[in-house]
This record gives sequence, C-alpha cells and structure tokens, in this order.
Amino acid sequence: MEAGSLDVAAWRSALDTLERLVSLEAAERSRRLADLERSEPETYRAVRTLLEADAQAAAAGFLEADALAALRDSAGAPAGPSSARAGERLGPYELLRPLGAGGMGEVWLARRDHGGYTREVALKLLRPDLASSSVRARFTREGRLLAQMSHPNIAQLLDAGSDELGRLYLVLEYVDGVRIDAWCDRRAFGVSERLRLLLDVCRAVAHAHGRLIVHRDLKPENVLVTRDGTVKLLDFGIAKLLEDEHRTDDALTALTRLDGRVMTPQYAAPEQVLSAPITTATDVHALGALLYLLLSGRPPFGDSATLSRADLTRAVLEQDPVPPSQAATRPDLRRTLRGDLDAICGKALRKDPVERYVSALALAEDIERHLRHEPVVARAGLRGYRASRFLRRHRAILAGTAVGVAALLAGLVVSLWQAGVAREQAARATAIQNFLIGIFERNSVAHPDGARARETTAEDLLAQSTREIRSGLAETPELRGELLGVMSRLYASLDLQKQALSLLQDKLETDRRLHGEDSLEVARTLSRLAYSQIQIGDWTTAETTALRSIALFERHGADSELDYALAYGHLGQAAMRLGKLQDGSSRNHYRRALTLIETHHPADPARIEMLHGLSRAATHDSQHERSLAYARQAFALVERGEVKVDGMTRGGIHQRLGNALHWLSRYDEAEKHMRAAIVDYQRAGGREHPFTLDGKRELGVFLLWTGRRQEARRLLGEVLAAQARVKGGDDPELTTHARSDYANLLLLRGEFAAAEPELLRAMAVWQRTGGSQVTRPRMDLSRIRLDQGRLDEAARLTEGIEFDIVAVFGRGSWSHAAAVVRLGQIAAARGDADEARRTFERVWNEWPEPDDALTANRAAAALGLVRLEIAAQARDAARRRAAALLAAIERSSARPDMPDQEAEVHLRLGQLAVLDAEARGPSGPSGPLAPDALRHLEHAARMRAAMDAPESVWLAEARLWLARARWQNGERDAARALLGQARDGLAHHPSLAARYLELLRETARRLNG
Amino acid sequence: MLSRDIQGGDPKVGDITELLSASRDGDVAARDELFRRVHSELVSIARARLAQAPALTELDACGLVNEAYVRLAGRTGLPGADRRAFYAYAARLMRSVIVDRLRERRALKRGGDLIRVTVSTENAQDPVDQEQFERLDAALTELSRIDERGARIVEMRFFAGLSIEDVAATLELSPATVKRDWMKSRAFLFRALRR
Repeated sequence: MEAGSLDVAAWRSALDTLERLVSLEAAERSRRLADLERSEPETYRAVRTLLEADAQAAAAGFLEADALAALRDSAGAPAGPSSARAGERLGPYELLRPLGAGGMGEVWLARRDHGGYTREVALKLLRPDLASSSVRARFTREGRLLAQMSHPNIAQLLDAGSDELGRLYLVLEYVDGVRIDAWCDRRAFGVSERLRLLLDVCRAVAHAHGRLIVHRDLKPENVLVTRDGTVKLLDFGIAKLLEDEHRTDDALTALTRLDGRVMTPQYAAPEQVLSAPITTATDVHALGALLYLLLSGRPPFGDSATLSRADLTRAVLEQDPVPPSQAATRPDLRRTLRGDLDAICGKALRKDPVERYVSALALAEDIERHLRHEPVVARAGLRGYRASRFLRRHRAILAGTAVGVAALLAGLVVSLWQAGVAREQAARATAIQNFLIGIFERNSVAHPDGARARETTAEDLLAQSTREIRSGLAETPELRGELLGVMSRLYASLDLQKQALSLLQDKLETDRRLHGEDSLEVARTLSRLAYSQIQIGDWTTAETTALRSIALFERHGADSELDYALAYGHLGQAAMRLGKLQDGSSRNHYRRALTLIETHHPADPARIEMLHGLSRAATHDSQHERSLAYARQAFALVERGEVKVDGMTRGGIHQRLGNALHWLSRYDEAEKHMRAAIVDYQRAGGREHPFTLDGKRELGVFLLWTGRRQEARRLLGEVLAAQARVKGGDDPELTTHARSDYANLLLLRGEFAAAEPELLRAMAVWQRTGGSQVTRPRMDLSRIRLDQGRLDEAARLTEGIEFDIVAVFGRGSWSHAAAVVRLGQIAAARGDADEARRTFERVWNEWPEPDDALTANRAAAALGLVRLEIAAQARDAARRRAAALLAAIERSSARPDMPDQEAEVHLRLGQLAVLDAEARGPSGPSGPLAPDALRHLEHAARMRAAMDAPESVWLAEARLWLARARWQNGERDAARALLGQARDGLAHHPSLAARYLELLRETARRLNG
Repeated sequence: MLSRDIQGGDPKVGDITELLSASRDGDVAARDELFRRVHSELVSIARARLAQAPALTELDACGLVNEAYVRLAGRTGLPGADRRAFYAYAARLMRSVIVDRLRERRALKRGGDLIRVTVSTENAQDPVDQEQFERLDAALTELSRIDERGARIVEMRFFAGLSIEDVAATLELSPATVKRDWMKSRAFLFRALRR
C-alpha cells in the first residue's frame, strides 16, 4: 500500500510512532518495529518510509538552509566547470592560473604583456548573469574613478573592461599576502603591534573616504599583509562597482559577497542588514569589527560557524557586543583590553552610525591616543577618567582635534601658568580663566547633548573664543591684549600657526594703541610674531619683524629681556632658511642670542635652541667637529641639570647629535641617537607630532644614505603621509622637507615615475616661498632627466645650479661638489668628453680629501672618469682607476655613505672584464671569465637589488652585464633570465637614456644571436 | 536610528500592538487583521527583493523578516516581547510571498529556461526545479492538516530562517520538543518530495 494515501489519523499515528522510536536504542527500536510490522502493517510501512526519509534528509541537508538561501544556491551555482582556461586571453591579459572561484565569477592570476615587459595581476572575471547593462555602464564609469585611487595600502584597481566576447573583468594589483588576523597570530603580535597595523588600515580607509569611495565589504578576508609587512586592502569600492542601478535598494550590494555567497552578517553593520544608506560610517563599523577581532580573537557578534544566520543577524541589529576584554580568547589580554580598548571598539561598533567615530581617521586618532596613554574620546563620558590620565602626563596638549573638554581645560590652565600670567597678576589671571571656562560653558549650552559638546574640537573652541575676544572685549583693551596673547600661544601649541599669527597681529595693534608705537610691549609682540612667521615659512617678513623687535629693545636698553635674546635667535633661523649662511650672519645672530641667554637666563631652555642653531650652522659650513661640539654642549647642559628641558627638547638634542655624528661617519653612534630622539619625541608628543615625524625623517635619510632603502622607504613614506595630514600637503617646512627626502629616496631606488611628481610639487612650493632648499629637488630631477635621456631638460634644470648652490650652501660645500659632479655627468651624456673630464677633475682638485676619508662626491667624479675612459676604449686606464677607487672606498671611513658608488665601481670592473673577453672572441663565448670578474658583477647586482625597486635602471644595468658574463661562462639559461629581468625593469620607463637602450640591444643581440 | 529611515507611515499600523496581544490571547479576528496588516509590509519588502531576477544572490530570509519587523516596530513602538509573535506570522508570510513569486516567474518563463533549484544546501544530489518549491508548499499544507505545529515550525525554520531556540521561544516549547517536531516534519516533507 502506498504510504501517501494514508488518511490524516493514520499519518498522525505514524508520526507519533516515529517520534517515540527515534529516541530509543537501536536494538529496542528494531524490536518495536518488528512488533509494529505484525500488529499494524500500514503504520509500519509509513514509519519505515519516514525513517528512511529522515536519514536521507539529514544526509542531504534537506531544508537546512533557509528558503532564500536554497533558491540562491541553485541560481548562483557556477555554470559547470570553469568558463575560462589557462592561456586564454582577455583583452591584453593572458590567464595564468585560477586563484579562486566564487559566485561573482572567477579570479585568475593573469599577465599583461606590454611593450616587452610583463606584469602579474589578479583578474576577476565576472559571472555573465551579473553583467546587466546598468552594471556594464557603471563598470566603465566608476572603474575609472576607482583606478585613480592610489595608496600604498590599497590594492590598486588597474583596469576594468570587457573583452571581445563581452565578458566583464576587473584587473587588480595581485597581492600575495596573509589575512591580517592570521598574520598577527603567526607572529604572536602583542596588542600594540596589532593596533599599529590597524592604524595603517584606518588610514588607507580614510584615504579612500577622502575620495568619496566607501569599501562596503571590509572584513579580514579583504585585509591582507604582504611578506614585508605591508597591509593591503582588497576590493576597495568593488561592491559599489557591481551594483545594479536599476535595483531599488543600495544595500543589496552590501549583501553581495564577492565570492558569491550572501555576505555573512558576521562583519555587517546594522544599516547593511536593514537596507539603510551605506556611508563611510559603515566602514568605520567594519574597522571596529576588525579591531575587535584582532584584539579578542573573535568576531564581535559571534562566529558564523557556530551561530545561525538568524542569531547573527539579530545580534548585528540589536546586541551590543561583549566587550573585547571579556571576549578575549587569551586571558592574559583581558586586563590590557579593559578600559580604553573596550570603549574604542564599542564606539566604532555603535548601532547608530551617527554615534560612531565621525571618520576612520577619528578612530585612528583615538587608537593613537591610547597608545600614547592619553585620554581617549571613546571614554569621554566617564567621570574622573580624563583628569586622572591627564595628571599622569604632566604636559600640555598637542593634539589638534576632538580633544575633550576637561583635557583642554587642563591644558589651558597649564598654558596660562606657563605664560607666567597666573603668578604675576593673579587678579587678571582669574579674569582670563573665567573667560576661558565660560567658553566651555557656552559650548555646552550650544550643544545641550553632552556627546556633541565633548566632540567639539579644540580648534572650534579656540575659534569661538577668539571671536568673542575680538568682538566682546573692546572696553577692556588690556585684558583683550592679554587674552589675544594667550590664545595665540594656545594656537601655536596646537600647531595652528596661521591662527596664532593673525592673533598676534591683532595683539600688536592693541599694544600699539595702548602702550605706544615704540613700547616694550610692542617689541615683545614683534619677537613672538617673528617666530610665528618663521613657522609658516614667511622668512623674509620674519627677518624684518625680528630686526624691528631688536631695534626697539635696544632703544629701551632692555637687553635682559628673554624676548630680545629670542629675537636674535629668530633672526638667525630666518637667515639660515634664507640661505644666508655664507656671510656668517646666521651664525652671528645665534651666537649673540646664546651670549644674551647665558648672561641673563642661563637656565632657560632657549639656550639649547641656540646651541642647536650654531651646530646646524657649523654643519652647513662643513665644520663637523664644531657642529658636534655644540651638540655635545647642549647635551651636557641637560645632563648636568643646568637647563631643565621637556621631552621634546631632549629629543631635539639626540637628533642634533645623531646628525653631527653622521657627518663625522660615526654611524653606529649616530643611529643610536637618532632612534633615541624618536623615542623621546614620541613619548612627549605622540606618534604624529611634527618633531616625532621629523626625527623619523632624519633616521629615514640616514638609512637612505647607508643603503637600507626598503626601511627608509617605509619610514619616509609614513612621515610624508603623516606630515601632510598634520601640517597640510604644501607646508613649506616639515611637509615639503619630508617630500623632498621621500622623492630623493624614490629616485635613488630608481622609482622615477613615483619620484617625479613629488619633486615637482616640492619645487613648486619652495619656488613660491623662496626657500633655498629648492636646489635639492632640482638636482634630483636633473638626475632623472639624465637617465631618461631628456638631456635638454636636465641641462635646463642645472642651468646656474652651481651659482645657486654656492649662494645657499657656500663654495666648497658638499652640495657644491654634488652639483659639479652632476654638470660633468650632463656633459658626458651630451658627448662632450673634454668638458666632462675637466669637470670631473675639478671635483678631485677642488675638494681634496685624505685617502682614508673619501666621500661619495669624489667617488662619483672618479666613476664619471672611468665611464669616459671606457667609452674611449681606454680599458686599461679605466681598470686602473676603478681598482684604485674600489680600494679607496673600502678604506674610507665614509664607506657606508656611498653604497651607490661602491656598487657602480664593482659593476665597472666586471664590465671591463666582460668587454675584454668579448673582444677576444667577437663571434661567441671565448672561454670563462676570471672568477673575480663574475664576483664583481654579482656583488653589484646584489647591492642594487637590495637597495633598488624592481624597475631601477641601475639594477637593470648590473643585470645586463652580469648576463653577458654568464653568457661568456656558458650559463645560457641564467643569462637569458637576467636579460628578461632587466628588460622587464627597463620597460617601466617611457623614456630612457641611449646608453641603457644600447646596452639592452647589444646584450640581447649577443644572447640571441 | 532605526526609525530614521521610515518615511510617512500608515496611521492604522499603530494598533498592531493591540492586535498582537489580542491574537496571543486567542482572538481569531485580531489575528487575521494582524496577518493582513503585516502582510502588506512584508510583501512589499520581499517583492522588492525578489524582483531582481535572475540573481537571487542577495536574499536573506532572516534579514527580510528582521527588516519588516524593524520597520513596523519603528513605526509603532512595538514592544520587544511581541517580536516572537511577529516572527510566527512573518514566517507564514514569507512562505506565501516566496512561493507566489516563484509561481509567477515560472508562468512568465514557461516554455523552457527553467532555473534549477535545489532545496538543500550542500551535497545537492536531488536537484529540483522551481516546481519543487510548489510541491514543498503543497506538502507543507498537507502536513499542517496532520500536524499543525510541525508545519509552523518548518515555516519558521525554513522560510524565516529562525533557529531551533527562536522557534522554541516563539511557540513557548522546549527546544527538544521543537527539534523532535522538526525531525518528523522534515522526514514527512522529504518523503513527499521524493515521490
């Protein structure tokens, strides 16, 4: 009898029996079934069918997914085996091997051949049914926008297009990396290392947000770390790209997983589950979830492997995550996480986007505050917390944004006290204090909701109070002047120099009206004004202002005033910035300032500042021993406790010592002090304080010189990004110095395409401000033009460079020698061998150095002569010169400073041996080379590979000569591989000097001919 | 925040709370009325989602139900305790919305071009087409005559994506009971679809 024809009652009975049977032991069940078969055969058959169905249903996972997932799985299943094959071409790309597949389509490792060089990329091939016409339209439009986004921590979208079959594909930078959480676990990273890594993620996200691109699908799978420790965010903005405009709802995209399954809600924000608008706050939520995972080892809302979708979805919508300190899988972490980090995660993961951090950067800043042991914004509501943290720190605030009320207030009181106001004029100080407190009270009234009031930035508060001082205190001009002075100091301490400047100008007017044009008050304000003008890069005006201040002080005979001595210091600094070191005026001003301070204010920290100025001036004069002596004097004053300084100044002393020691080729000591400087700066001012960054910049430059260029690149890139963020992209002081150094590094790594825009930007800024440093980017750009074969431009850039450099750095200076070398190189490139030789010989004649202290400029000039001799077929002369040069470099105390020259001299020696061998057997290999010829070339290639980027022309040059050497030795495969590598590298350059092209052609001819 | 996205609002939805509590107390008329009200909300959301054929990749039953709930709750101030009652209804609604929608689509596409649908997640050894969804629906209706509770449980699990624990809480049963009922119902349905 067919079970399906049972009536309702029979089915009920069968189901009841089934229910009883399944809870029984197997033996007992068989016994009961046998009984049933005898007594109720119909029910027995039904129950048997059901038992079988149960087993099969369980095995098949029947109804296990929800209805929609079931529909989706079938509709979304890939259409059979791969639709693409290895070796197949899509547009200009050749598919190499599949990297993965999912519902969105397949991901392939692909290669693009382009003008003889190849590049490996990740190619995402879109599933055809996803490619509706509106997706197509969007693809090309927004793909272009996304491709413009370039950031070292974001996997670059390289291309978005369709092939002749109409298949859509995305081409992305291929990232060979590990999931961020796995990376941290594998290296057993501690909390602060994890936080630092996440800071990189935050900044990359902020970069994209700045371009109005939201990731929408940030999760650990999309955040990889490459072998060198660089974070890379994948698929940025891709979710949006795949969005179908004709769909009614934006959030659909958010629910699309790129691997085809529906996004698990594990890392989703409530607005994504709810189809509410996706904004940058959605990414902030995802960053919070990532932070949570990195800290606690678990996703914030539980694991999708153990929770049902329903539970996860509900948790995302309704539950606040368990604080990471309680969720942490490692008990030892719990205490570390409790407090700040719990609060930071909580704030990033708020259900309401408005309550989260306002930006990825704000999240980053709070994490940084935590790392600096400063109060975090996330805990702003907790009473007493800020005060306790603040007292521990004992110093004025420096951060510029979103500083909490209590912290700022404490900062104001400290500043007032430091200004000396509180001590001398208690009554007026009270009035000032009341005024300042009033600012906060009025702010709270303006924002009755406490959270908003707390997030008013320090800058906003200052702007508000400045307006009130300017408009509301006309009847009490004295108080007004005083307050303007205080506010300008606060602005200066927040590094908002422009505002400080405008307040000081205001104060100057008040002082003039109140105390008279020639009063001491005016002299003091002028001195401070000069300082502010230096800070914004207006050195010419600063010089005038300082001179006016000095004239007034001298008229009053007030030479014991600190501001008088400082005015000399400002004058010295302005003179140095304006390149007036030659006439000694900078040095003289500093010395005058130092004498005044030693006489009248021997314990004032400004004494250190003046010693530093003198030390810097001595460096410019190539008086390196003297420079070190000044730096040591400053160090000793602090060591002996004669001058009490803060952490910032202490860091400055280390930095100056490091710099002076570097000039004296005392590398180990130099590096030690440079690193100590960074530690001091960081402790006192935090990671993004301009001084911390400048300390890192100097260390980066040191590493650059000594050939540790990978590390230098990371450091200098980081410094430039941070400096630009803190001071603005075109700040002529710190940012542009950082940019110039970074560009110099890129150049020296052979990354011409990256270096060029940075150099042009630095030049533009310094041309505008009249900064003498402009000669540096000019020199660097001329080097690039030279290797690009754009000789006219190189010549134009170096036109008058010797004069300009002598004017700034002085005749006989290091930079002067470097300029002469460059002129020789340009003459050689233009084929003017006589002029080139004369120019190179000038370096050897005009910059005599003891043999054991050969430096890079002389080495570079000698190499210029070697090249001329090789070109003139004078190989014996060239060999003798190169061998002598190598011996001198190896003997020199400055050897670590000239890795480029050391690599080149090895290259030339090897090249000469290859040329000799090739001359012996013009038609083919004439027998193996001398072993040390090969050794030279291997050494050169190794040094270059360690320092340079893959596209470096110098690396390519070394490889080509090494290829020819291997060819001579019969190692054909190795030779061809080197040729291929060199060709790939050179193909990066749209324009190349003839000598590289000829070398490539000749090498290829020999190897293939 | 959750209510910020709600525009306008049906003034009559305000009494959903009352309807819910009345239906809990066994008022059949209130229950039908509630069913009708919630229906329009859920149908409009689900239809909007389902309209995006052919890619069904963005659908998420639980997400839909939650969204419907949150929208209604945001508009009416539905107390949290009523969410469970709501889910029971929503599950039924999801079932009718999905099945209706598939039926419509099949009508449109008649003449081939059927999308193959599997009603299991992995090890899909038994692929069924969309007709199978309708057969599942019919089997479920048959089951409801034999075991009303079992059929409700399937609706909540399969069409609304609720967990065993949720279903248990909604029906005020122990999870063990729900698990047993689920097992029985699933066997019944599997058998029905295999025929």
